[in-house]
Amino acid sequence: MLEFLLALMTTATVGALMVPLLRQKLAVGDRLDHDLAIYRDQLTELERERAARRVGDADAEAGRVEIERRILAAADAARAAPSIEVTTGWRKILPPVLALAIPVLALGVYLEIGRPGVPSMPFEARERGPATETERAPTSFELRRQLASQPDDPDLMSQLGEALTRESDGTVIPEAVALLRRALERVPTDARAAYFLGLHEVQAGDARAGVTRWLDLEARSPEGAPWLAFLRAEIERVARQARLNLAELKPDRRAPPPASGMPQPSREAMEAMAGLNPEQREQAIRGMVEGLAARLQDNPQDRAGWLRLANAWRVLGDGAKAGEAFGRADALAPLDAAQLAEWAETHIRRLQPGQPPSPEAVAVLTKLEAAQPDNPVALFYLGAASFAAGDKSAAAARWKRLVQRLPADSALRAQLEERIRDAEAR
Amino acid sequence: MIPELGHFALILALCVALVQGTVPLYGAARGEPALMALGRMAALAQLALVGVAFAALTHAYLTSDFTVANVVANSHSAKPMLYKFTGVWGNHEGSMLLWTLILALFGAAVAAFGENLPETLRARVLAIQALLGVGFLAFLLFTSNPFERVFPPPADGNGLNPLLQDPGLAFHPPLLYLGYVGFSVAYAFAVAALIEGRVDAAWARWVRPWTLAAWCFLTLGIALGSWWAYYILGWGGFWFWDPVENASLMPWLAGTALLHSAIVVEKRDALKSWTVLLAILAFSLSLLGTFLVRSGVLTSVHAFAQDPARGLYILAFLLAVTGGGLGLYAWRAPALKPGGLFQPVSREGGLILNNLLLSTLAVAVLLGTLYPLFLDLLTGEKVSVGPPFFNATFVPICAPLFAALCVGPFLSWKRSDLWPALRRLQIAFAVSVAAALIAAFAIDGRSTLAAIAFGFGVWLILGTLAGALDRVAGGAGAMQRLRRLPRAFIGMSIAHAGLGVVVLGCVGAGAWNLEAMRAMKHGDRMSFAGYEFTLRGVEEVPGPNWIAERATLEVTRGGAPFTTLRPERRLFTVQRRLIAETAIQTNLVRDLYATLGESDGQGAWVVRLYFNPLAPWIWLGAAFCALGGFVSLTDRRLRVGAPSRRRTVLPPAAQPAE
Amino acid sequence: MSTRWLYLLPLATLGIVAGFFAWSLTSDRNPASIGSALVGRPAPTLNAAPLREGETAVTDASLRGRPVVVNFFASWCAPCQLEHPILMRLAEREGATVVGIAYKNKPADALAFLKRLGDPYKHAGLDPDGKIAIDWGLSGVPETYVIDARGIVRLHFRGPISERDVKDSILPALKAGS
Repeated sequence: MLEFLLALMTTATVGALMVPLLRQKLAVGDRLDHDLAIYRDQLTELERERAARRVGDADAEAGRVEIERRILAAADAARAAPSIEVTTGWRKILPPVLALAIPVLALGVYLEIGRPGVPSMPFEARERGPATETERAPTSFELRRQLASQPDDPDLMSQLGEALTRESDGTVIPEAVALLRRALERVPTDARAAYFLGLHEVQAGDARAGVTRWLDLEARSPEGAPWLAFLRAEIERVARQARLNLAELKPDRRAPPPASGMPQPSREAMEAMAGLNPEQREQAIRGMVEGLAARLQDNPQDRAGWLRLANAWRVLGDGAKAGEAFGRADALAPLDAAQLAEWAETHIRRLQPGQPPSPEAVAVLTKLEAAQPDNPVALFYLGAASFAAGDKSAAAARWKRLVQRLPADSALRAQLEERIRDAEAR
Repeated sequence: MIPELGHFALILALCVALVQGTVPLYGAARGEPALMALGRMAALAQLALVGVAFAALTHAYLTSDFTVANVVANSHSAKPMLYKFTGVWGNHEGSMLLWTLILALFGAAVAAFGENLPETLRARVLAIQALLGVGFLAFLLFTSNPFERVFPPPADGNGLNPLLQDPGLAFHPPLLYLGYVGFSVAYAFAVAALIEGRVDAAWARWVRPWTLAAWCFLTLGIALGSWWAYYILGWGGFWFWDPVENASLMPWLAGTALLHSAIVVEKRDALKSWTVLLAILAFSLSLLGTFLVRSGVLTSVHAFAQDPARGLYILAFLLAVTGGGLGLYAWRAPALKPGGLFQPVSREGGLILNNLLLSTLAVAVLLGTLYPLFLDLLTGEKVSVGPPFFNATFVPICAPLFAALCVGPFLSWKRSDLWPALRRLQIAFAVSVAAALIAAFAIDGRSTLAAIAFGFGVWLILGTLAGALDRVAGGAGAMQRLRRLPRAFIGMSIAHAGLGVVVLGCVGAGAWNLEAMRAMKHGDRMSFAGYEFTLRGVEEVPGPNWIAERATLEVTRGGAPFTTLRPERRLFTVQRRLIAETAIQTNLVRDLYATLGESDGQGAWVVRLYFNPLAPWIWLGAAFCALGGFVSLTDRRLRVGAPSRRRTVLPPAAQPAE
Repeated sequence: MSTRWLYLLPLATLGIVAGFFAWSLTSDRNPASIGSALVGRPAPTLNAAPLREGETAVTDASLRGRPVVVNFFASWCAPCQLEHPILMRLAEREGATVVGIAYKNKPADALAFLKRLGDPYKHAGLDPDGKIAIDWGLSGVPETYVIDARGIVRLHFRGPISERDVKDSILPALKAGS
């Protein structure tokens, strides 16, 4: 379909360009005619002005002489210009040259920079589970109202402190500092309050106090706490900027793992880093997820919480952490088909193009296929896995089932049919 | 698939532009009709192709197709439909595509409606336009491709800068670009004329409608931008001498000068090389504006994503376009024969004064914008050039400009007498002086300068009116004379009077405004500018992608209910940004303007009120200016074409000519 | 022949302008590079309308008698927000006298800014049209000056001040200047 439309567009373009080249009759005006039309109009206008007494007779006469001089100049120029010269050489060469050069050049450039295999995916038409509304951290409006009814809830104070910071482009404003201090007085282990208070100290020009606070938080955080990777990155960043010696601040510090568990930073994270204020932006988004993760460490039986965390990581583009959270939820009680589909998606996201699904992904996809035998994602990627494993007939069988489910005009259809042929051929 | 179609169409457009930029140029030099005619067809094809590309990107935005990287970066599925649409050009890549589309639109317009142009001139103009198109298309495809893809698509997009999520923005860039890019036609005409070595009265008339159209759109675009700043930025100002604003003002000033100097070329065959220079500069300044805004050389409040690599490309392109034009100018312009002579006091003299002052203004803006950069580079010293500089330069230059503006139309060509003209303006002058005095002593005595400016505004309106009356009144047949007035004259009068309205608006909103700020609790009452404002409450209102606090301010006057203002503070949930949405009540003579500020957490809200007399006139006057331009565009004289055409039967291509 | 050069003038101008642009794009220009003609000289005169209701104008007298930190800020300026906690600390924890001038800022906006982020200023003045800024050689906001007890400018920072500036320059200068 795409190929056909591209060919059609090219043909139409080349065809349109051929029209003037191949036409037998062409209207050819003389340059002088155009000039004369203007000057004649100027003469009549001058006459009208004179009739309306807006120009004196002497001035009008002078004006007339001037215009006539222009007419003479135009006639001179017309004589000097090259006469209309009709040679057929160009008219013979140009059509085949254009008909060849335009398609070749256009296709050459397109194949270099275009992505013909990528289908378009309107948001409405995408396969989406029911639970995909993105986790939205509550706003300061909402939290303030909640805090008014529960004025002593330390968690709300801490959350409001974070929300105010986020809404102030990452500056911990005095109101937030007061809230965070109150929260920390009540719950000294509140990781969020400790983090943001530390951030305040860093912002207020006391990086040593801030980093010390963060190192304490790091020390009492359980290994595997979801905020650790981020916290360590923050400690590194601030220590580097303020030239602090971490070993001196905390001699007994557990050595952090050499790299965070992520296989590669997500595209969103890369973009945030390239942005004007990367730390603050990253921190603002992650702060909310981190908070959720922290709550879950204390309450690991909260299956709905794990699902929300999984969704949040998924939105942040951290497929590994999302997958982990899905796994925790699945261990508590088996996930439904839609949730399995999202879990599978976190694995598939991390695939290199053309690479077959990893064993972990296959495990999830198999669960998904069991829950929903016609799920297109499962059919497609399990097919790919079977294909890669050499089980071509199983691959073809899955893909055929998928093709039957696709709408007639689906962009995927052609691609799949080719793959099926491929699987059956070998 | 649809994004790929758009991508391919864009590449095809580049190929077509390459053909259109070369073949007709050769055809015009050789006098080959078929090769020249190819330019017209290519221009139409290019519009169709860029149109397909633009439609494809728009489709991706409207359907939230997050396989397109540009959509991911700038849209969100929860965005209202209108802003999905405007999001197409609310970003760097999309706005460059829009720019290219408009360039193609103007090229196609010259091809389709340029019937009255000689073939060689039209072929050359189209070729130059296409070469500009090549630059923009290559820029799009190779450095800022709007059709870059992401697969698999992310869950949702990153949204749009909430400041840009506004109806003002929806139509601001398209209008501004219609203006900027419209000057490309003037540029193409100038370069074509330099190639031909012919700048004459006929050329001036042919280039006029295109310059006029571009100027009208630019005027509207600037006005809309200023209106947007007025009500979205929420502090009552309407012009900030921001680099982005200056970038649009420079081509406007050059374009205005061009419109006036082209009249001298048309009527008297004089000022030819100056006019050609202005035509080149008007477009070059448009490009310079783009460069300044997008390269990060200067920073600005509403700058697009900045990228030095893009900056270098635009710089190279700017250099090629401006350098090419000016190089050709240096080479060919000395050969242009000087035209008719005239006395200093004459219509020509007046128009030259106008040009001198307008180009001084343009240079002042350019210097004010670039000076800090140059000084920083040369000496490392930092200075800021702000409103004080611009006010200090604009006031003394605008004063003679405005004073002469009403006198000029009374002067006759070649040589004239000043006194008869001034005598016919004496009533307008007396009333203006009275207006300035009344302004200083009765309306608002805070600023003498404002009072004088007010007098100038009145002078511009009355002086222009006097000029029109002078053409019509006097004995019998007035109605007939009114009907016979050339549209160009009517248009000029509307535009000149419109300028007066703008001046009055600026005085009112800039110098005579009142403001008040107070923390108000529910039920609090505040008297301001003759009105009483009562806060009736602040409620939370959910929007499509924001949550707002909306205050209800009841306004009464002398105890009688007058109106209700509802300023808001919107929190955009995706970007987590707060934007104040102002509430404006206008009666076309003054604005009541309210914004909602912070709450103190104890039930009181900071409410800011502004009383801006005459503020709507700024935009009303600008609209008059543009209207004047459009009226002038309908003048019969701009459509004069060659009366007869010969039809030449070409020998069939298959048979050799020998 | 001589007029021919006139026609080359626009091209030459373009060359110079373009050269500057290329230079500014390629050189790693640090917009906050330090360099001030004011250091070591008496502070320019200061006469600013008060920002806060009911206070007196900020004048030269506000600067005399002890070392002071003069800070130009604006609510619309993001780096100002960035350095604001540091100013708060200077005022609250280090006991420094900080004088703030709201640059091209509507009073209501500046006050709201201070209400949200805290108000470190002993005296706060207004520079609505940037006239004071010109006297003080400001290139933008934020900029910060340290002036000793005799009214001599000791330090001038362009751009937001950092923790290191406080530790290494501002605090020693405040101590030395008293």
